[in-house]
Amino acid sequence: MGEHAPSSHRRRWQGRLVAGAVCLVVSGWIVSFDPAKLVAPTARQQLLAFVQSGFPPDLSRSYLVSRTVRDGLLWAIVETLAISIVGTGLAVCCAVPASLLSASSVTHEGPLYVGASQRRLVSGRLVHTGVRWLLSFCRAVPEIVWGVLFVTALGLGPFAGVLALAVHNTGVLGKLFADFLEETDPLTTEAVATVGASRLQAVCHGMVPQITATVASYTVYRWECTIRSAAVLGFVGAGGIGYHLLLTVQRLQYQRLTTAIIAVFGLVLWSDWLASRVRASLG
Amino acid sequence: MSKVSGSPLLCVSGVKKCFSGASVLSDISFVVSPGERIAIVGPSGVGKTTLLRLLAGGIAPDAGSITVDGHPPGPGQLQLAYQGTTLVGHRTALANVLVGELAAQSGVTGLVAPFGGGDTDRALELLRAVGLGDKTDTRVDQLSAGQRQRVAIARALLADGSIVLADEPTANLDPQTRSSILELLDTVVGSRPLLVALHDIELATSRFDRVIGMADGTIAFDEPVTAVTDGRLAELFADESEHQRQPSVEQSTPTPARHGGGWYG
Repeated sequence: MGEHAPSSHRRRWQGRLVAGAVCLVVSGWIVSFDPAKLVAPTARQQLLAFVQSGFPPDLSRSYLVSRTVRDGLLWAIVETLAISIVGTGLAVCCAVPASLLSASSVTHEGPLYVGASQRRLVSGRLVHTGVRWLLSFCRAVPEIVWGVLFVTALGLGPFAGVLALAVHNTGVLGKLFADFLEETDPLTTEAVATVGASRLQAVCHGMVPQITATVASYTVYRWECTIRSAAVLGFVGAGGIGYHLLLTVQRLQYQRLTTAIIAVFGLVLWSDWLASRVRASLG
Repeated sequence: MSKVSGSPLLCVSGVKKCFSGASVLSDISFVVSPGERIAIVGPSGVGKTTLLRLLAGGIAPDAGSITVDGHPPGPGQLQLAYQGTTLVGHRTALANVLVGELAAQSGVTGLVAPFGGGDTDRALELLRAVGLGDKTDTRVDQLSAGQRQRVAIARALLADGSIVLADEPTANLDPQTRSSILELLDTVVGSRPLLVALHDIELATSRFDRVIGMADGTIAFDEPVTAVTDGRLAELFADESEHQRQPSVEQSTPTPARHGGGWYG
């Protein structure tokens, strides 16, 4: 028996590896994966020509600041940052109540529902399932699609980008926060509930403090992600640096494109550094 | 330590509890009078903590009834000092203790009370009484296991329940602190009944009026402390002692026998 267990364990892992490899090969075939194209002479020449035409980057004042500050690249960077901050803030504001309504430990399970009526449990389960579906829908539609929808409805500009980020990230953060709430230690919540606390008090003083640091850490991580998303949303007219990237590509202004790419890279590096500092302070 | 008076206050009748189909408690029945000091003893895993959680309302029984003065207990009427691991680590000792008076707060006030809006003086007094007067603003996850245990006791004492329960309140404490904690519990609880799950038989037989011995999820005996014999206790812990003495297959040398009246001596 003792010898059989490791060999069956090994066979199981071998099976998983083979299944993974088959999946990878089939997926590669579907996407026409062909590394030879990368080293083909024409591809190399075109890539080289593209890189050469992008240097040196355009650092002229007319591009960085333009005639009015709001038309320049620097303003686009600031706008991208602002879109990500407001979008994430709005997402957190919506995700917190949504997570409370979609965590089973808050709505219908665990120590908060000892002796609860069947009607209360059923209604809690319905709310939980409904809000989970809503969050899944928000999450399933990509930010860029939400961007197109809001640009269509509200017109061009950063506000559409803010709403696109807020809706998608409400779905992401709402689900994450709800999962964290469901994974809290039920005994800690029970200890608060049995003191005679109401359900809301037990959630506030038993569950929420257990996840506060994790929630803050993941919020900062999502903010990092929204910076990258905000940079892309400009492609559909939802403000930010994406609009500059699109214009430079359309007008074949590769030196300006290089500048814009470097700016995005700098912004991502900076946000990464800042986020890691914030996470360290939360730890 | 005896302060027993009057007719039974707490009545536990035919209580059963299963987890995932496995019976943890079966046919638990006993009554508790005002002022009684009861130690619940037994080996690990016999259901002492589950029984206390049932009494406190943290979990519901599958069968049987629990009544206080003939009625189902109200919220917070039976106050359980849970083990220290159930505290909120990211909050201070004072904030954790102030949770104990949430029952007395209104819905909205209770949301902010543990941040200093409650009866801070009483909470500070209790923290001083359990020897943590200098740790009030220390985060609980920075306290030792024994200090956390004392914070949990202070929380339960702040809550004004008509019956006080404590789950292993002397765990992780040195012998001197164990005695002082039990003394504190006895003093603060006053004329209310006190039920304590204990692993330390010496404390159970020296500081309580009555001992309930538990084995395999049932009550093996329920007697005044004067009637509890060493033989009875040895019998209760026989399985655990046997298990501890049993050498595992891989051991090349036998485990030495323990001294005195078993491991609990």
